[in-house]
Amino acid sequence: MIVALLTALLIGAPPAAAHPVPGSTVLLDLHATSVTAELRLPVQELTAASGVDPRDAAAVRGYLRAHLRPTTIGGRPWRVRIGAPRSAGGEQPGTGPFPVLVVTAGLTPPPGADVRHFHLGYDAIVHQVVTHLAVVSVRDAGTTTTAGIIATDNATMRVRPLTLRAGGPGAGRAMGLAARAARSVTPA
Amino acid sequence: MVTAVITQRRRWAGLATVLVLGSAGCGGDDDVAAPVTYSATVAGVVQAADAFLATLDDEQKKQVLLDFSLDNATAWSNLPCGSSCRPGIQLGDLDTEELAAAKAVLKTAMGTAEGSGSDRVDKIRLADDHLGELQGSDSGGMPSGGMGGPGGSDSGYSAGTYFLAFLGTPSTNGDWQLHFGGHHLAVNLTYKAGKVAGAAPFFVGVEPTSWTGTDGVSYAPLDDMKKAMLAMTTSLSTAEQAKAKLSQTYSDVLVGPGEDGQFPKTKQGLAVSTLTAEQQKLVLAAVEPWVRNADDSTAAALLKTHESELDKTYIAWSGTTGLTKHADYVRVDGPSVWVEFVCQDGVVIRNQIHYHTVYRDHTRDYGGEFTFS
Repeated sequence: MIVALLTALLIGAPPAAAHPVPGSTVLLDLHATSVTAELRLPVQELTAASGVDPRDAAAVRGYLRAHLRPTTIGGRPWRVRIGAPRSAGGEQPGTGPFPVLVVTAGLTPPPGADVRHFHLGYDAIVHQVVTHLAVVSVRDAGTTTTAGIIATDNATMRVRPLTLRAGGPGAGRAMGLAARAARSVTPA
Repeated sequence: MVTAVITQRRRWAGLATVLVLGSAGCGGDDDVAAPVTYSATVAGVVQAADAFLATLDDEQKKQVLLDFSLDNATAWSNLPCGSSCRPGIQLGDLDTEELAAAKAVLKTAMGTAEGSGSDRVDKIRLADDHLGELQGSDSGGMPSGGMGGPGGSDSGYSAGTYFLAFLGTPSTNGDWQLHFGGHHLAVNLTYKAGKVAGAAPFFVGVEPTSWTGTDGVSYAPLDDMKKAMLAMTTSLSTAEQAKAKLSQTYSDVLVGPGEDGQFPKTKQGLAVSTLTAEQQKLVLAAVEPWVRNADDSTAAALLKTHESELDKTYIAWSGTTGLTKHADYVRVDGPSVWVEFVCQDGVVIRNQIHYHTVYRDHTRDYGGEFTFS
């Protein structure tokens, strides 16, 4: 059920049930020396979290620059290039249609750093909207898999960070975290 | 005592505490409905449950009588996800006699105050019928803004799409749970050794927040909850409101379905101990509508507990205090009590907000039967 829901979130298909509040999605394409991230952000939640006018591209890019800070496992920062936001429509299970901003970001690690194992450093919207979820998936060699869900940990009221480890032993833990977070959006 | 209308059957003749109030159905007429009552005790709930089970065939009983397991107990949702997210027998699949007996269980087990208990349950189910009618009609009569949500007349919005299960065998000496719910509703009443061990989690929400039914009656089933919360927050001074305000945004309840045991470790907001006696009464009154989902005696006991813990209870809000806009949010968090009320944009009626609320108990969710990490 969790996998079905996450798949539905990613492709926008509405199954029988899900969370009625739109979530974000982050789709990571792994390349040889860099990563491309496509962010799909519900406009209402983005505005609530950032206070920026979604039509103000510079403000949106500035906000995202502050909330997408990938680093190597050792803590060295990656270079981040935020593209121009574009408007689109979204629909997730149970939400009905809603407006989204789609933003593509280029993520480049320091020379020699692993593009398949890094801290994503993403907390857009989630840092402010406690009940928001960002589903992160990885497209690698033509296969898309869910890497995890970035959400607030109720106990600490802090955003759980996500460490990517494509195809490695960390993937299992990421899915475990995803499963736990997804319980709030998925029927048991 | 509560009154229920069920079909009189000879097999109930031995139930000493079943009181036949009406004459219809007596004298050997097996199929005429008669109002009966069960005592508002655990014994009464068990009698009502047994009477309901007696109306069912073996296959139906299998749908109702389930293990009191973690998986079954935590299988509830605010969503219109039908049987995919909750166990039990569907009310819409029951015949008249079976349905009356099922409703008698709820009426016996839940509070009797007007607008509370099974009365609120009835209205939440009517709200779903209303949503189903809206989705089944064309949008010509809709307010501007139109409709959205999981579309079509097969969306699952209906008063019949609610499910009743007994987790464990109903008894006056064992451990079991009455588990009932559907869209915007989850009732979990746990019984242990003949006592009510927990009346939470209790999720209740509604869309739309008010409507006029085809019967011409006006409904606003959570209005008392909203008013009770507003009375609490508007009693605060400007300085107190500032202290109670949360810096973050809530577009849904925090400890909703699937979040069992996931309470914040640190209480946030304004300490009730700093408030006047009058204000403290309003805090207790604010949680009372949720507590009254339990039977009257249990609710009174729980309210006493919550009152005794007010000095360690906190209140908080986010958004605006009006409870009129998306992400307007208010919370009461005590050693035991946890109540959240949030306004959220409509899913079916897009240009209106609707309400989600949840009542939990830090130690009595599911009667304390399970441990969550």
